[in-house]
Amino acid sequence: MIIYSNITRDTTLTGTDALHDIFKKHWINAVKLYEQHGYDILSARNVTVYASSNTESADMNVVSGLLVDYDVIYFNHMMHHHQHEDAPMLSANAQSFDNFVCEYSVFFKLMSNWREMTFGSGVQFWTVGRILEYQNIMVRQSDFLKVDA
Amino acid sequence: MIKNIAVCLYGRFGTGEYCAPSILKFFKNTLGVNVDFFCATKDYDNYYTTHYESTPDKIKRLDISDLTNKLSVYNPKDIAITTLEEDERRRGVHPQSSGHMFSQMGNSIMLKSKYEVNNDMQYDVVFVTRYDILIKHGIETTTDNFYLDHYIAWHNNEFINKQYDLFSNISKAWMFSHKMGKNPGNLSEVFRNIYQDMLFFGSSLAMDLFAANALLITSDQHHKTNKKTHIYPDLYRRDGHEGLGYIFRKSNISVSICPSFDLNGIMMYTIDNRIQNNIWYVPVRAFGEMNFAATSTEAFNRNCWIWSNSVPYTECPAYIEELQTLIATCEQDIALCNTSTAIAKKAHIEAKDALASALAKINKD
Repeated sequence: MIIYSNITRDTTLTGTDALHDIFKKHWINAVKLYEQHGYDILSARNVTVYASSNTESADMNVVSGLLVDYDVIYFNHMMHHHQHEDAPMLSANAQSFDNFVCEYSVFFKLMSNWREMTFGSGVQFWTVGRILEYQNIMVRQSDFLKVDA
Repeated sequence: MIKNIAVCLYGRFGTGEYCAPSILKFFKNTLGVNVDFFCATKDYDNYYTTHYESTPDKIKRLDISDLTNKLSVYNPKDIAITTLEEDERRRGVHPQSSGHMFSQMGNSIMLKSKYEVNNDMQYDVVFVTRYDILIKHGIETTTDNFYLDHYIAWHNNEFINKQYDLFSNISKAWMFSHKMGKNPGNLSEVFRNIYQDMLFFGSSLAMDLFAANALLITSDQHHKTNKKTHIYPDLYRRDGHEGLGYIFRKSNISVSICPSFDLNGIMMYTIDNRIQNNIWYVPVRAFGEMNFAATSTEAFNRNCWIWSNSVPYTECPAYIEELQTLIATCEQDIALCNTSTAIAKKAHIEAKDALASALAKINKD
C-alpha cells in the first residue's frame, strides 16, 4: 500500500531553514495520514510513503517494487539532482528531500526532527547526512522519477 | 517556559477507575500550566502478565460506553480504543509480546501529535503513563506539595540552562525515565539499558521519535502481514523494559533519571530479591488492595507489597494480625478523644471503618 505526502516547498528558503520548512510540512502530513488511516493500518509495515515537494512525477511501478525495509530511505538517484556537487549528503541541500520513499514509521520519525532545526538560525549544522545518521537511517538510491519529468 | 503539558495514558484500563484520583492529583499544579489528557486503551482487559491471575479466562471484554464514561474523569482531548479483533490480528507470534504495550503507547502519543497539528501548537512536556498505577506524589500530604509545581519551576529555572550537564548534549529529544538497576554489581545488568514503563516523560520530539519506533515494533514482532526483516527478532521474548531501552538507544533519545526533588521514592525489592531503583509508582493488580482511598499512603504501601510479592496482600500471614492491631489502636484513639477533638475522632472512626472493611472482606473470602 502506497500513501502520499505532497507539500509545496518555500523556494525562498535555503539550507537549514529550507529543511525545517520541508520537514515540518511533511510531519503535519504524517499526522494527518495517521488521522486518515489509523494506527492499525499504519503499524502493519506494508505501508510505503511516497513524499514529494515538487511537480516531478514518480513511476509508481518502480516505487512499489522497492524493498522499503525498516530504517531505509530511498532517494532518486543522486546524479539527477546533484551532478554538480561533490558530496550532496554532507550539505544542507534541501533538494535531496524533494522526492523520497520510505516506510511510514521512518517517515514519521524523520520528519519529527523539524523541531531540532532552529528556524532562521542560519547555522548549517543540520545536513542531510547528519539527520539520517542521527536517526540510524540507511540511504538507498533508485531511479523512481520519470526521466522526462 | 512550560505552558502546556500532555499526558498520554495507555494500555488496558484494569484498575483504572480506582487509581484515577491518584493520577489526577499527581498532574495538578498551582502554576496555571495547562494539562491535557489523551487516552489510548483497549476494549478488553487481559491478564497475561499477571502471574497470580494466570487463569484460563485471560481476556474479559469491556462495555465501550461504560469504558468511555470511566475515561471521562480525565476529560481527555482524544480517545482511541483498540478492539480485541484488531489486537488479535496483530497477535501472530506471541500472545505476551510487548508489542501490545508499544502499540498502546504509540497510539496515545499519536493522539497528542494529532491534537498538536489540529491546534497549531506544541506541548512543552509530554508524560506517558498507565491507568492502573498509584503515584507516590499523588498521595495525600499535609499541604498540597505538588510534584508538577516542583518540576515546572525546576524546568523553567534550571533545566533549560543545565541540559548539557544532564545529557551531555542540547538535543531537543530529551527524556526522563526510571532506569531499572537490577542486581547491582552484576556487570551484565549494568550494561543493559532497561527502563520502567509505568511513567516517563520528555519533549514532544522525543515522544514522536518514540512513537515512530513503537509503531515499528508493534508490527515487527507479531503482525501476520509483516514479511520484512525483523528489527529485533528476540524482542518478543523479552519484556517491555528492554524495549524501552532499545527505542531510546535506536532513536538517539537522550535519557536521564527522573528528577525527584525532595520527594523520594521507594527502594523496591521484588520477590526474587532484585532491586528496582528509586521509583514513585506502583501498579494496582486486579487482586490489589483497594479498600483504601487511592490517594492514601496505606493504599500505596500495601500495593507495593503486593507488587513485590506477586500475591494478594490478604495472603500475607502478618496482614490479618496487623489489621487487628490497627483496629485496636483506632479504638483506643477513639476512646481517648473527647468533644474538643471531634475532628480527630472522626478521622479515627473513618480509619477504623476502612480497616474493619478490609478485615471483613478477607473473612468473607
